[in-house]
Amino acid sequence: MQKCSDKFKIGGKEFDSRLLIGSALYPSPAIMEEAIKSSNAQIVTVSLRRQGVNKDAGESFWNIIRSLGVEVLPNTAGCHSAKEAITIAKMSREVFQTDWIKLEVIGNQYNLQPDPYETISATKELVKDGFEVFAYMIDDLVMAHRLVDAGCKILMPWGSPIGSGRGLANPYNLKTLREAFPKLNLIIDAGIGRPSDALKAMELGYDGVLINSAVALSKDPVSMAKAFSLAVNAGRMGYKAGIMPKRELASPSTPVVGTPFWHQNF
Amino acid sequence: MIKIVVNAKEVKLKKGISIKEMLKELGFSEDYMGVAINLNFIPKDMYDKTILKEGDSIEVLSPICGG
Repeated sequence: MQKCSDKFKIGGKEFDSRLLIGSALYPSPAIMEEAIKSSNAQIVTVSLRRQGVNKDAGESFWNIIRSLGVEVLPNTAGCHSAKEAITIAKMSREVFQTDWIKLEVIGNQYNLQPDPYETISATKELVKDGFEVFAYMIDDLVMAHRLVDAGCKILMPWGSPIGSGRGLANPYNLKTLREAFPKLNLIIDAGIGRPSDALKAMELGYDGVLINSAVALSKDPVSMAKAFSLAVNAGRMGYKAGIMPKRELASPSTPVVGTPFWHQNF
Repeated sequence: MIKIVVNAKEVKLKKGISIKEMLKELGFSEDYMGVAINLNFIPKDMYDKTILKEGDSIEVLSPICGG
């Protein structure tokens, strides 16, 4: 029997899981920890924020993440310009000891849509500086080409706006991106609301899916994390196994030869 | 004395103070954190060599959850 599982190669490393998970919005740090474990994710997103004087200073959070033995993917969430994002990326590299950066440069506060111009500008600088840029973008073919021209090897188109849970708003655009860049790492980031959304993304041939709100804001994040893990695996396995083409008309699956009560004129 | 802004709060510090001295004086943890001055990243090995100036805007950031 053909083995359908395959390694996820990204940013110079290899992983068994194609589910990336966020560390925000959980009811408690303990539930976050259990949900990450339950998800089997090996890449976890983190961030930087202003340190409160004489407080925990992020140490307890960081200790939990480090204890999980996962790869961290710092983000530039909240940045509105290339300059801000580049500075946060450099700070993240020092704090988290990684060249990976999930580049988010927001251009519109209403739907948190990424700013294409600032994202491309930041990507050029960060790639030159040795960063592995995971570029958050809308599902736009031209922006994808510009990011690739800037040296980006990992694109993260949204399924729909961040935290909306609206799933894959434009499957056609996502399919087009996959077809245009068959060898590039493509990960759906943002908008996934339910496990079936993640499964559909994987069936489209996406290399991975990043989830946060859908797990953290569910009634039972630990169970939901497991559900997403299964969905991502099922979608990937289905994609690799080769999905049958759609047909215009019905076609019986039970053999027609020897059909009882069969009449020529029926 | 100089007036600077640290994490969006105005503070007064002695003239000629370095980042390293500022962090200690204001009680910041140096274990897991990064510093930027006026939107420019300052590497850790520059903390004792970088002197703060009047009007500088400083960000002292630490790890937090993120999506």
